[in-house]
Amino acid sequence: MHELSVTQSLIDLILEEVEQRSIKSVKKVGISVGVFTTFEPYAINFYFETLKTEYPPLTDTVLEIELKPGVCRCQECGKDFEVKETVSNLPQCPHCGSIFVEIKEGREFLINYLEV
Amino acid sequence: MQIKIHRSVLEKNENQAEINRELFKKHRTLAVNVMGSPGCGKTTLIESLIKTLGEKYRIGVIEGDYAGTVDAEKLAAYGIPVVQLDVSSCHLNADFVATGLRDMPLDRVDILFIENVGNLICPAEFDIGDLLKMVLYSVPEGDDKPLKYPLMFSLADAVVVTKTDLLPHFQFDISKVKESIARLNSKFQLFKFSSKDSESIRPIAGFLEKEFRRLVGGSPEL
Repeated sequence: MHELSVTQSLIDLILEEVEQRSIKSVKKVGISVGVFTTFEPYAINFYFETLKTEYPPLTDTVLEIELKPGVCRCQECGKDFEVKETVSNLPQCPHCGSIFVEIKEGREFLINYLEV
Repeated sequence: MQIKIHRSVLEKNENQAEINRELFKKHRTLAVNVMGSPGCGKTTLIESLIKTLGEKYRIGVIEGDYAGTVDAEKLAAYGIPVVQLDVSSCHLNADFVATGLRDMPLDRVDILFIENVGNLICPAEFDIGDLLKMVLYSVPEGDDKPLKYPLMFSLADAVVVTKTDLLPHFQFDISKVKESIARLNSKFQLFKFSSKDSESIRPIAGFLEKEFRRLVGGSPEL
């Protein structure tokens, strides 16, 4: 539900780059969304397709969304481990089996590149 | 041609959140982000805290509501500064809070409660610059919620289980709640609150007093 406002922020950011770099039209935009965010890639894409039509440099832009793995630190053995998929079940430490972990990375929502 | 860019889509919000946080520290105001589902008892808890802490601390409230001014009116009756924000979205963001702060006399507020929009998902993603995050959730919502909304519970400094007078009527295991939250959060404190039991507010008020001393320092300037 909150993807509408973040997609608008994404578009504002792209337009800022487009203006600074005097770009006429953008072919592709690469973004990455961390697995521990609550931003649904499907919804971001849906809103992007809807909103982009209002901005001439973006009318033909394709959005490429990469799901970025997260990193957790085990609260018991202290080791870090990667979490590749969206958490439908809470992560568990693969080293010692503990279910008590801390999210270190995976809350990012980044714009990585523009293809022009 | 590919142009590499490395920017956070939420950078505008993150920057404004830092500005808000600095402002709270400068004014020595403990800004508490109060989050939880619609109907979990956020306004009732704030009301109890005003009654308990109001003698010793100057309290202010920012009310983020999707529609209506019922909550803001209820709290303004205590003679404290209340700012209502009509939020057209599912969460408060740092910009919106900054707008509300223009009408909030921060130099005369020791504890500022910012009541977020009733929702367990979106408010977790948007830093508003608070110094403390309090997540409420009521017994009728069920004891599995921390597993369903992990991000929100992973960020909480305090979790308050509300409406505990209903415990005899529901299958609700508080030890299960505590363990589920601890899976992603090593720092939170858990409290139980019932508006029917006036004593149950004391540990929460005590926690806020301790956090006031720790985060903004000293005693309130009354």
